[in-house]
Amino acid sequence: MSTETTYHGMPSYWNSVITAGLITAIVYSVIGLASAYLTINGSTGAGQGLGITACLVSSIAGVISNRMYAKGFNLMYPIGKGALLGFLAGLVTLLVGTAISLFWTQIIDTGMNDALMEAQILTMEAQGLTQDQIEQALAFSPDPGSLNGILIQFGIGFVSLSIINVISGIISAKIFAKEEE
Amino acid sequence: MAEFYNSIGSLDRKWHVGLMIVSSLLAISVLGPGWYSEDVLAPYHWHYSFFSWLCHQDPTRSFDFMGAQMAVCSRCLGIYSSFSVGIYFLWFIKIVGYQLSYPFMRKVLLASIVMNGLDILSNALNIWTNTLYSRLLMGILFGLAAALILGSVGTIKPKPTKFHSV
Repeated sequence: MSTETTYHGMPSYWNSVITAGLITAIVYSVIGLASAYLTINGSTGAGQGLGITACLVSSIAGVISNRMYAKGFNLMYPIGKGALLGFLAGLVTLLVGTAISLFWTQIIDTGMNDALMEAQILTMEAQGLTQDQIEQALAFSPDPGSLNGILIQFGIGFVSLSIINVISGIISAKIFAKEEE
Repeated sequence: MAEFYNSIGSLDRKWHVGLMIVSSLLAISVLGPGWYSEDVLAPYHWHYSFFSWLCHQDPTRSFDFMGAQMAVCSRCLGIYSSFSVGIYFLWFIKIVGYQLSYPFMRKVLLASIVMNGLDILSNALNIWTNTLYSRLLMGILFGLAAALILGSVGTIKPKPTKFHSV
């Protein structure tokens, strides 16, 4: 079986990167959507319970990409390459996750963003915030359906997912791309 | 070739310094805006947007810091803070010339992942109820192991092949 090789003679890592990004984005989106719907329906406890599993889920892209690449081709490589794989897998996660979110909120359930906003306002009212304070708080987060909101969320996600997946990529490269005696 | 193995065996300087800077910034960011913001709108600052991709940020499972909820839950706080401490500790280990064993650290990391998994599962199944401090401790174990394995050296011996007599 012939494999596509890079300039340095190593196999191409794109298959591993894209697969890892897809898996992570789908898992993250499913958890996020389920948690959102539970929150909208008033089951805040269940929504939070499900959301607990979301901690650091987005960091598995770096782990999966490195494991697939290192074990799939039986390779050894330095942690810098692991960091690169993690970064790229995180980027794929962000792109696919954003696409899923847009597809869901713009086509499948167009009222979801408004419902989440109402749930957020109810929560703030329950916390005792005044109307002025509620409006100020909402100003911190832009309208999720707007282009401005999408770009801001994308920018924030780019930085946070890059950092965390570079770190998880470095650790994974240390573990999986290591020689055996 | 020696330089290549060295870059795998232990963390070389530029990666070490980079991780020290990044981990420090993360550890400070997770504290949230309480230390500089006194208003009631502190929970809506950028800290929460940044970590929203990485943590559920459940208020009932997060510490407060100087009047505002931290940007991450107690488990994540343990992970980020101990990872940063671990990266700095690696520098100290390098100075004194001590070497951490990679096979040992791999087992420690695996054990910390299993312990965290069991903690989450047993809490979800109501076998036991974890607390802010128990989750913090679990996070510290994982974060520290993740940091220290980066500076460990050594190789894993493959499992012996079983031969069957004919």
